[in-house]
Amino acid sequence: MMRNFPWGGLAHTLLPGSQGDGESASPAKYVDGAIRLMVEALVGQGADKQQLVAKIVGGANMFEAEFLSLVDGIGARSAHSARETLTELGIPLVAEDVGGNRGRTVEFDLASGRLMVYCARENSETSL
Amino acid sequence: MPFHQLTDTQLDAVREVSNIGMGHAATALSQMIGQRVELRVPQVMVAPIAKVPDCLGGPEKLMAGIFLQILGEARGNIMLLFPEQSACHLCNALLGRKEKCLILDEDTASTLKEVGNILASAYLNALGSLMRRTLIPSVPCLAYDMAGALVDAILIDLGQSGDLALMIETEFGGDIGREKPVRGHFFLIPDPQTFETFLMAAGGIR
Repeated sequence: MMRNFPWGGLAHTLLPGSQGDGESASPAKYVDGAIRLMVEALVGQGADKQQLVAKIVGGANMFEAEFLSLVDGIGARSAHSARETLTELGIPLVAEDVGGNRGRTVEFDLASGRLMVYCARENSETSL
Repeated sequence: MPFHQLTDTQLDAVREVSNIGMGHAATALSQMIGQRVELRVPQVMVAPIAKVPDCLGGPEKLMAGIFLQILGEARGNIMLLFPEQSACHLCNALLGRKEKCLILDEDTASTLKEVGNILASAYLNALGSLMRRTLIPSVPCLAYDMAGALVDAILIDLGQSGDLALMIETEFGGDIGREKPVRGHFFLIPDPQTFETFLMAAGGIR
């Protein structure tokens, strides 16, 4: 499917939220900061904010269950932070592949809007 | 303080500590399995931790990673990365198996963690003597995934600071590496304050 919407962005972030961290020197490191920056940049380029949609991938916990803490791990918190920020900005979340304990790598095709998710460990490939 | 470049004196000291540490580790491994084990350190370098996957053959390369925290009078993280084939050969040698690729089960997972434990303990012992501090490794944990994902896990833990890693290439020789080469990378990621203390001990901050 070709979309009549030539704008898109892809962000790779490390930490859930920058709250309590003051004005961080590198907001792109945080989920909420990166989403805001991306939306700003897209709108700055002329994208219609009303038409933006989002897909999120990742938020895995790489270690075995015995090391999971009682509170949510960083991965789960990152996914939560992404959903929260998107809701706040009024951007619909149309697809997600989060959690588990496998690392993922993604490829975003701007023309079709398709997001390919590869997982080397399971040698699998999904399209979102 | 920028510490991306070590002086020759400091690099020498790091190499020396690495050789001593790996020497201790080799002895411990030999005693454990009753075979001759040699550990060589062909290369020592300092690199930003985010660049590590690129140095090891790309972020999508499958690796077994063992992680430990440094506890005691200095803080930091230790990460050991073994390419899939090296991890497989290492487990074969230690468990007397003949697998073609790494099969992660209770035995292999435990073996890899124990190797991590021995290497980290021996290394920290040597490093601690140099720094005149008591350094203790935490319980090891294991992950098997793409190099990029493993390094992300460390970066998440580090958060803001201390993103330089001391990268110590480690080659297993003797009876273990005879049939198939076993190579791993040992990463020491001290927090900035610990790195400073370490560099002081290793010949002063330039």
